[in-house]
Amino acid sequence: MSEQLPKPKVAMHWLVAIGVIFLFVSSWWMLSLPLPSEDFTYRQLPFQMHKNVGITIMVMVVAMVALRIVKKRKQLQIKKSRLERLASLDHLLTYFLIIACCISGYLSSSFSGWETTLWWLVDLPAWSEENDDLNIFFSDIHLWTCWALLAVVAVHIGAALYHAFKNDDVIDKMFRL
Amino acid sequence: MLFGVLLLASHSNELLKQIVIAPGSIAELGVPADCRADELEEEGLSLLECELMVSNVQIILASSPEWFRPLMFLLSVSGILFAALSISVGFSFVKIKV
Repeated sequence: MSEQLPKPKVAMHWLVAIGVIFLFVSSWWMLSLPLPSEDFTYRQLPFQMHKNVGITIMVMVVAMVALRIVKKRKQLQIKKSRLERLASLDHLLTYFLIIACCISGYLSSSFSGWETTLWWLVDLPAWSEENDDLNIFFSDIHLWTCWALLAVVAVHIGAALYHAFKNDDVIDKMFRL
Repeated sequence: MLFGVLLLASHSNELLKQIVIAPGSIAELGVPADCRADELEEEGLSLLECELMVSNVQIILASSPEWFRPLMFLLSVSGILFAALSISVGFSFVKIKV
């Protein structure tokens, strides 16, 4: 049997997967809700949930990157095949895009003048006063990094299917908790 | 497992939608849409699109019979539970595989 991956890493992988899908689905329908005002507060809860899940995912991804760095230090002497190098690149790109997507979303929200209270418990700092230009700028970065993330996730799922049909131990490791 | 992940994300969104679009909320009371110019610019929307967003909520509420929302609540909560169960059963199957 192959070497088992650390349980926290497997658990975080699946939690991040659920979170990312939740965020993509929610971003589509919540933007069709009426624009926010004093009377129309339909967007309040979905946007707050979107931010809660997004920031939590970012924390988990940072932890996954840290685990990866620690593991890499131990395995510096192992030579990787071309396919493994491509897989590493896909993982790094996924991590980078998730973090970029979350940070740009948080900054966009921060410059929109809306406060962010993580899980209704922790007040996160607003980086400046309301600034429409910066809000639109970070909102655009949020949009494009998220589309790029969707493309990378599609490649990731494609690679997972490749391993599943090849019936090697990669899929097996990712399902062992 | 994969379907469990997809369903969990999808059902939690449905639950959230049912919580947000509630009968008796402001759109149903006939309050006109509040479409500020700066918000329209930020979102890249026209005035008509902004008004349609309120109409959309009104249509959802008007077309849903009284029993619909509790049923959707029940379905999405059971969907979340069964999806979580499906994920844990998936993990258990892999664990017992030799």
